[in-house]
Amino acid sequence: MIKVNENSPAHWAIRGLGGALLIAVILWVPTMDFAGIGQVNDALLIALAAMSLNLVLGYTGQISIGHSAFFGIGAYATAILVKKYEWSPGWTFFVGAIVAFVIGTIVALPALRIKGIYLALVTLAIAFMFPKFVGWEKLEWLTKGQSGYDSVRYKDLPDWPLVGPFPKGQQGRAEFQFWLSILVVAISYLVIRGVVRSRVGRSLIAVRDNETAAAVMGVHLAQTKTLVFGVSAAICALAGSLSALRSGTVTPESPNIQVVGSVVFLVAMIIGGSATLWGPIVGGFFYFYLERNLGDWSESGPLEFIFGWSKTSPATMIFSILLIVLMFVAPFGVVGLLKRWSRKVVQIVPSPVVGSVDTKAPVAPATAR
Amino acid sequence: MERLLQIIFNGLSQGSVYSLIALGLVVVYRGTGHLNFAQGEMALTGAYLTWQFDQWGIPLLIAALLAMVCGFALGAATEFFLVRPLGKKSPFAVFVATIALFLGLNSLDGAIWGGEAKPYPNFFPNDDDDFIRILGAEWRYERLGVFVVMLVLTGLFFLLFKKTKLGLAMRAVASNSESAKLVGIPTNLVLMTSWGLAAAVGALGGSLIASVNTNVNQLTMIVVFIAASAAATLGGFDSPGGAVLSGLFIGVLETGAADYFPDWIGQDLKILPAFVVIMAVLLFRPAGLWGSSRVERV
Amino acid sequence: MSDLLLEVHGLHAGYGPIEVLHGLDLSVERGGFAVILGANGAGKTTTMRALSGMLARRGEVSFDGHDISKSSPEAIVRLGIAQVPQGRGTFPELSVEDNLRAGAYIRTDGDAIGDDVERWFTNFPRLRERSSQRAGTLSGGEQQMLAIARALMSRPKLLLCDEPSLGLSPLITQASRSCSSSRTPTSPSRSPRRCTSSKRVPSSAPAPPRRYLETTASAAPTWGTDRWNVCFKSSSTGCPKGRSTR
Repeated sequence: MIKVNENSPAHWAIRGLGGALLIAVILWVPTMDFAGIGQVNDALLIALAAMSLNLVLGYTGQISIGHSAFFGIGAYATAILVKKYEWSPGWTFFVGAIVAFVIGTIVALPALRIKGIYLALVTLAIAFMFPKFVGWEKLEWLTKGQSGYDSVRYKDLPDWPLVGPFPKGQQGRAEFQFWLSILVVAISYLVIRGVVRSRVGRSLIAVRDNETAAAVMGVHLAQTKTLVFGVSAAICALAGSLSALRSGTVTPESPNIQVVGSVVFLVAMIIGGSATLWGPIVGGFFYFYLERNLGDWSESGPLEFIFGWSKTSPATMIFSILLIVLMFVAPFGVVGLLKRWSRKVVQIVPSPVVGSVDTKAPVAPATAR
Repeated sequence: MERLLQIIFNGLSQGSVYSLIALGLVVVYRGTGHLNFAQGEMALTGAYLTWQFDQWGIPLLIAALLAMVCGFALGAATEFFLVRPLGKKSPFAVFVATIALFLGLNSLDGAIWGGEAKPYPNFFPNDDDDFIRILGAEWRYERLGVFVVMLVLTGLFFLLFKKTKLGLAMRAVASNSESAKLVGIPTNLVLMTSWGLAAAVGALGGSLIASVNTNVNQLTMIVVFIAASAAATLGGFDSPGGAVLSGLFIGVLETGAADYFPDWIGQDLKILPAFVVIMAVLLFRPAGLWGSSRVERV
Repeated sequence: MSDLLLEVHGLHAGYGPIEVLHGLDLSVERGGFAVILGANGAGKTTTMRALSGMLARRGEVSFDGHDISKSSPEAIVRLGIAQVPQGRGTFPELSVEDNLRAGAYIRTDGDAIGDDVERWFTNFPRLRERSSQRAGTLSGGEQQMLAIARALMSRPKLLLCDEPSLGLSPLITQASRSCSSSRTPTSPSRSPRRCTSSKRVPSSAPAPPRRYLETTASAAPTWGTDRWNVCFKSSSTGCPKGRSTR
């Protein structure tokens, strides 16, 4: 085992290596064809939604099953503003985020005053009602009912510095969507990182598993929790806005808008690693590619042997088994597992900063991934 | 008047099923402090099992009883293999496990019985003239039966709680599990029994709603679970009586809302009034209508 | 049969990695009672919890001829050890009467349980007044009465009382002692300095002789903070020298 002092040159070398790897991967993606980029874009959507869920569920322990509704709010905000009011898509992201923030705060307000299960149930009800609400005939003038909106997209792709100009057609759209997703994910990552590393964020984490302590700390904390919930809802709405542009179609039947979307985000977050910054991102990709391929994999080989009798695709069953196994062997998911292993190879010794409360050894992105 | 009575009859029958599922949620929550998200899917599995036993030629009532036995085993196994070991790690792990069980049972049912809806047999006579007329409103035997079954089962549950040693032990464990151990109550066994009973009642509830719907499919229980959890919230999570009454109330409320405002609420959004009621309750009486605030606050 | 009801040798117990008891020796005779004194944090409650099986522990513990060093709390209660836990050990949501009935959980003699409930209501008229009230609404002293009565509902051979006089007014302490010695012997609750006046359980007590072990709130300062003093009460002439167990 190698010991590395925090912020020593060796530590910075590890961080630099991790950063370089990350940048290399990001630069490599646009060289794929549009189908490949499209898959990465889909995975990024789930990753971003899982990140937002992680902020409330992983870090502050508030159970939300309503994130599919916030996702839907983002998607519908973008679709409505672009198609009905002919906005440029970029600005719609802000509207979706603000609406989701307000609704998230309102939803969380009464439920946060008391035990977490009520928040779970209220958000579950919201998630359940949202698709019915947007499909409601009285709102058809706004949401276009069951048929929803299609071909939500930029009329002309903006020309971005550094990464543009983008080629015409599907390839260009995929590339642009990728860079847009990376930008939104990066900003969201920084926001989440800022929240959980802040003083308030750390106190929220500290009281996560101790509701008595949370109650003793008083109203202020409840307000903060409510605000954090709003931020999380806003980030999830960004993922929804991205999804509207990615697929171009927004209907009440869109998979991530249904209740099951919340469960998908949850599964992605847990597979990747709850309460870790990189976990949901890793989990989003894990989930997406597993989900995509499990159906094929289970038609041959050992999975066919085990699940061959199944009348429907065994993907969901496999995910639920995976979740339970993870809870027993690696409650902090893939990233938690990697962190544990990497500590056996390289240990970061935190530097003794006077007055610092943060004793957790930060792990370089490279080791986290 | 006639219309109102009709709504009340239909609502009570619908609410009866919510009450049964909510009762299961409350029994489990009181004992272990966990919300069983898989409660609805356990009930779904029970409904499918009843259907399967019926297909094998077992008389329907016995089929439902068998399904309840299987449900009991499923619930007890869940407590033993998942909730007990994971509960020692963290409440979060148990939450994830119940969500995983929700997904797993739902997809397992789909895997075994296929995605398409199965026509479901009737528990009660269901011909055109099988109803009683009260003040002009018709209460079909099929729906009346569900209500009666719920009343009987709830009555049995209350006898169990109040009059038996097992009930005393269940209440003692829910109240103070440390002291329960100190007076010699085998708390683990009691918790396992609680989960088993909850799942068994759920299995019956699932079979009844499938019978009323005349079919069962993978999505049958999701909306029922949401309504039932709303009932448990309204009643207060530590009050079985409150859960049952709230279940009935929500049944009547949503039937009434769908009937009186067919344009505005209709079948799709009929859960909306219940949701509004819950938000109001949470704002003004956070422990629920019948819950004790000592247990719920903090 | 040995005349020691409870024999403990080299008892180790603690919470997770933190060991609190490092090889405790302790014994209680048939007929007498023992008092454990110690400073805050000395491990009195831990001893109680280890003896009643609530904590992981190792060492030899034999009770009434049975090895209970690995038994579950439930099995230990069945063998005849009841505990009055520290603080509120009652079932707050249950009625007073149900609390008493829960205390008799291990017993199968249904009718006699009813008689015992009646007996405790006679001894503590206050509890009868509140028999259908929820235990959580009782005052601290009433709850303590209830906890003691509940522990005795299992008709134990040995009663462990963790700080029994906590929250009891002297009057109730007195009442509890007088009525209990007349009917079912229990341990007098008192502070260490006054333990000299404890009465021996009268041999005329109708129930079989029972032994009691209690912990007290705090030690006399001269006994030091890191030593166990187990005091075997053998006569009414006073508390003999504490026997150090470590």
